[in-house]
Amino acid sequence: MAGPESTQNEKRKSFEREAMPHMDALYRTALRMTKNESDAEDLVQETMIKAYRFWDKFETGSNCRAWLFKIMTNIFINDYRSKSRAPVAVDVDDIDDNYLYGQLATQSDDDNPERQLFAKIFDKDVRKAIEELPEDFRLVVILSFLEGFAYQEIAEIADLQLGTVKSRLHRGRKLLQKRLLDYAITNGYVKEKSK
Amino acid sequence: MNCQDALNHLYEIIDKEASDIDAAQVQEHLNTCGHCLKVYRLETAVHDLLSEKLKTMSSTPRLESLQGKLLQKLDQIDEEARKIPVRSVARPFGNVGVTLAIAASLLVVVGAAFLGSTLYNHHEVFIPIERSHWRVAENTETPPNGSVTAAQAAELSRTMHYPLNESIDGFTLINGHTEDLMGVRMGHFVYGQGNRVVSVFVASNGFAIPDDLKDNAIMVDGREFFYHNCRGCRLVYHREGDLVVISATTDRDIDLVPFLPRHGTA
Repeated sequence: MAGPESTQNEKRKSFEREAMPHMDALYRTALRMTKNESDAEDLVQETMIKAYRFWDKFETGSNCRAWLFKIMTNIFINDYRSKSRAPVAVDVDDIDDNYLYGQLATQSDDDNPERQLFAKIFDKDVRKAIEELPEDFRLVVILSFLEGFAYQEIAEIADLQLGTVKSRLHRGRKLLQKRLLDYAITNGYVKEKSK
Repeated sequence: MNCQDALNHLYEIIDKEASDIDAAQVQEHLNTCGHCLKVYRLETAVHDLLSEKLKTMSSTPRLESLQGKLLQKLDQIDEEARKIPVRSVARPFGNVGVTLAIAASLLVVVGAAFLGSTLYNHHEVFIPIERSHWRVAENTETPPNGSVTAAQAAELSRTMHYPLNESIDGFTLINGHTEDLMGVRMGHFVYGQGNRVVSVFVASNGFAIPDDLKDNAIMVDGREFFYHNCRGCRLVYHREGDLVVISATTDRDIDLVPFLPRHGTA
């Protein structure tokens, strides 16, 4: 018969088997959200401890990865996000949907406009562009780009409406592209298109 | 499908969220439209580049030591779990009438017999009053009766960062004021429906959930609640950026989750 002792052991075993393999993914998202390794480690640690305390609430067979990300997102929003609660004013409406293409494609007859941009893009440029995104946008962009979560999963993880996920992702993308292009122009990899 | 339609589906296609029908129609358009094909190629390449760069730059150099630290912590938790006696209580709040009578005089604490459905059914750990951080004597103020004016509600909502609704789930906001509880300025909102009452306390800053409640935690829908049972009543703490203390009276079937602020909509 299963006593408390063996139940505890079972719990531990199933947690190590199902939850711990996701630590790597949790960490890389935590790193991009907190922007530093020590906070990222703390955030992951807290997330895993909380998940373990609630392991009996996790429904076996459901999406463990999304569940862990949801816990982490809640902790991040409560404890790690910037103290200022004022909404960030972001004006992306003037970036039209063909912005990137418009900037790159008409500069030359090159059939692969992306080549111009990518040839010289450095990791640090990408990191900077991501980290400068407003937190709300950064979260959905990371969950989508880095973790490959579906829109619906992101909606559940971040506690958002599906439409909000889509619009934040769209605007986040546009901002990201604009920043990357700005770096490329500043550094002379790409010529600015005359207006 | 014209160019605008095709471009409207751009990110859904890249994110593999488009329906099969849309995807087929977009593909058909791209077969005949060089411009859109270039846009798609560029955007797909940018997406792939960013995903790839994000992955390679975000590896965990100390994953093993992180896992090692976690395992140690789990050992501790397991050890504690073997020590803490947990007793299961089927129906701890039998006498609602008495609870309500005392509630009239002692306001919050006793009025806070917590009987919400989703947050209710689990093991109970009762904390004796001596160990409770809750000090009944500090609070003798009784909230004035009557409804809240729109201006008052707006002011409270603004100062307490709590998106206040005049009505939630059939409950009407009947009272809202601020008061000092546990040394912190709190907003106190009372919703009623007939003789069923929900009290919501909101502390807008500086209120830490006491450490000794960490084991008294419940998770509902991925959100964490701490509860505190004392003198046959229950207070539930939930943090959503700011602290929210929730309590309900009279009815264990009241679902308290709609009364919480949600960071996604603030």
